[in-house]
Amino acid sequence: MRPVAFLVLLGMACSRPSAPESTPAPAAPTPSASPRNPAALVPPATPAAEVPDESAKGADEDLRSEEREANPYSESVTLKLSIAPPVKALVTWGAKTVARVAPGNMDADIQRPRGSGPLDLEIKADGFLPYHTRLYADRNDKVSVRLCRNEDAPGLFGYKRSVEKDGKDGSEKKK
Amino acid sequence: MSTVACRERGPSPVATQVPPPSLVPTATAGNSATGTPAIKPELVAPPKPDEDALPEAPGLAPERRAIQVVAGVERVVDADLARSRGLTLVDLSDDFAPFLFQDGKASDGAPLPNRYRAVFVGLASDHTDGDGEPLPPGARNYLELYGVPPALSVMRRRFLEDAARTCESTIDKSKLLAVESIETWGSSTEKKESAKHHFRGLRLEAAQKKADAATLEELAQKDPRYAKDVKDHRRTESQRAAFAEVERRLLCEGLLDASKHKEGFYDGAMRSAALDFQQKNAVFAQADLTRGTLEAMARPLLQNDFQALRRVLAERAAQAGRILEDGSAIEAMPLPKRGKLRKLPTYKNVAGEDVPVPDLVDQATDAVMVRLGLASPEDALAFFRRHADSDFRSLHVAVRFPPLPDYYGPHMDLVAEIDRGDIWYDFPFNAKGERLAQPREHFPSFTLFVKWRGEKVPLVHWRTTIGGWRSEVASDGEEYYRYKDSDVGPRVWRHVVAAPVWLPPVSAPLAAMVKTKYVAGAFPHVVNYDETGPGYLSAYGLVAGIHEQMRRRGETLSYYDNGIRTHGSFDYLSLRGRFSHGCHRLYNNLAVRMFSFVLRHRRSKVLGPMALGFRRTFYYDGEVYDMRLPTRGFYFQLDPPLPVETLKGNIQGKLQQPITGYVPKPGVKYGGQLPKAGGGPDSKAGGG
Repeated sequence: MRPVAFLVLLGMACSRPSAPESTPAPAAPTPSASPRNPAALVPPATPAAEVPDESAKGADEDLRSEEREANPYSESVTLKLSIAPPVKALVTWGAKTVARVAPGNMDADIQRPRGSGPLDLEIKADGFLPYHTRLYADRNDKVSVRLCRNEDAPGLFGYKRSVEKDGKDGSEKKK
Repeated sequence: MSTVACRERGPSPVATQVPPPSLVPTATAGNSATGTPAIKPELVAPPKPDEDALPEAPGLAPERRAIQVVAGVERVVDADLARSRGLTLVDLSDDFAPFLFQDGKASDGAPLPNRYRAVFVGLASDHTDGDGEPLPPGARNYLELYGVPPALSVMRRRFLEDAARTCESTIDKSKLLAVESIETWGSSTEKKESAKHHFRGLRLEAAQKKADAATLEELAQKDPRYAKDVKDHRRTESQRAAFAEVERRLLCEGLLDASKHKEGFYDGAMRSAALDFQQKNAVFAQADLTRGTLEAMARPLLQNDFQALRRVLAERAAQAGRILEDGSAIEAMPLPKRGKLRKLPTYKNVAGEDVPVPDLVDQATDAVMVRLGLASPEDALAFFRRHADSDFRSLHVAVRFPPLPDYYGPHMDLVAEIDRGDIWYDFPFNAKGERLAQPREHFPSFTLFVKWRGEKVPLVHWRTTIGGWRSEVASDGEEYYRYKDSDVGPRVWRHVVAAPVWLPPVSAPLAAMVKTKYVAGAFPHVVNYDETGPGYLSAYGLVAGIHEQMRRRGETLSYYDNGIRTHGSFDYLSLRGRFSHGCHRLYNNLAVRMFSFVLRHRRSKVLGPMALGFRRTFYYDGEVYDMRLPTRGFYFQLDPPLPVETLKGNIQGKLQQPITGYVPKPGVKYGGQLPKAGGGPDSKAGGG
């Protein structure tokens, strides 16, 4: 398995997206003729892009219409947020508190005027990393999120890069 | 699904190019009694007798009203009557959006909402930001160069505010125009340069005294060793004097916040104000104080507003008339021999005569200006004074447009051609890491043709981009160079996507995927959706045509998407000679205009919003971010697809074919083996 794919899968381990959503697989590698020494460059045996690679996807492979809404011109939309695991959590939208969830009811339903702009939400819970997600208000929307415990941070996609760049563990800083 | 886009980072060769015709200010000369340069002085009144003047029609419902200026007086006329007389109704309402952003209907009649329409309208009318959220009070969108021209109510506000300003006479235009440009730096360099100028002045003053010279120029004559210093000193003085006028102008125009600006310094507040000025006035310079910027600042405020109004009306006219020809097609014609004029592109009319391809957009814009009685900035000010903001909820003007050429029809035989121009496959650095010269005389171009009576007639010819040598993060996390090639050969556009979404590759820097944003009273960190879109800043711009290769195996026809698109771009300066990741960029407004034209003159169907369901969860700086992109964009399907031919171009240098893999950056030490470069569409074109 390629390292990037592995990291993506690790990253996805903490968040279980709702059913139709998926993460695209990285492109398959193909042999390349890249020399180490720029002074000794030679042209490859075949042109790079004149003939599409056989691994190129059929263009219609993923093309599907969005699920239709009963009334795409309704005044308001309903946005649903489901949080796991069951813990006490605070959901904020900027300076506003949108919901407080707790075991027994980990869902939040939000009514918004249609087309009023997306909701960039932050979810905070003790012992878990702050979690940012977005709900779109130009349609009815729903999202399920799985919070990540602080100690699970090293398994997340981007952790290695973030720590290598900063030279420190960001999750420690936030505690 | 391809996850590539044609984005650009890093240094690239620069070349000059004139802006597209639609963005070139049309005022050139003239002098009215008010000192205001005239624009197209022939646009004074409709021809006499005015056969297209319709009778006044008071008491009509708003949806049946249109306006006309007849003999200098505006009247309300019957829109239905206008249509029946063959006039075109040009939408002047704030609710206007280009055809691409209109809602569609499915084959079963179900509505297909085009969600970006509301955002486009909100941006154009200064009501919302790119997410569709309300702008803070007093905030303005200056997005014309990004493909979102201001709404008419925004133009109204500009005219009324600028007409009320009394500070214009305090600006010394001669000082602005005394320099070719003003050098600017970052803050630390600026302080050094300022000190350097100061001490050079002291040195020269002392030398002048010692040499008993009346002026510095006399000093330079007496002692040529000082000539260069004197010249530099004078140039800097002129630039400082011009800089003070730039400050005055930006303050006068309400773009510079004096409370955030330190006089004499090109600080963040002033840089931002200069960029706003350039965006507002379609000056192609990203906050650099160029000659074009200074010339625009030397023009009266209302003159600039008038030019902006004409550009706004040009977009409205192009959409209303379903036209594209903008005079650029002449650039598709071969260069003439010395001393000869370039041959005009022509087509054969029904009588078999060769007729020049007209500049329909310019002619239609003239017609709109005439019918609205807009021959000068003062006319425009009067127009906006007699119309309240509320008038722009549903205002239309009834205009006679120029006749369409014979090649027009509901299904035109259109073909697109991309010429890659001069190509260098050679690695652009020597072993010492020095950049090698790879000059290009012939730059990439995009031409849309119509096949008509056995000829290919060019309709427009614009600059575009092709791929080149780019930095790329490989699977080992290191940065290498890689040649991002643009496919050659026959392709088709089968799908046109309004407000397309770009998926960042997994190698995208995480820092770029997070930003701070004002959200409901706070400034939290959020996922950065600017580059993914949908939106005008998207790597694919406001619209993309997907290049696909038709492949036939026996009876089966299939389409392959190799990640290349022709698309709009907010990065308008990249159209002046930089490289993409393989895609063909166009100015956003021209891409919107061109694909709207294609959809209206080819058989097509609306597929509507296509699901994507992309999600990427990542860790950054101690927090978890969840990027969600539910939609790919609003899809149209051309049936049959439109042929696109990408020409090989003129290969320069030694290599005749591109290098397919990574090439180490000179001077960089790498640890392990050279990683293999991906070969799929995601990594081949590599983005934008």
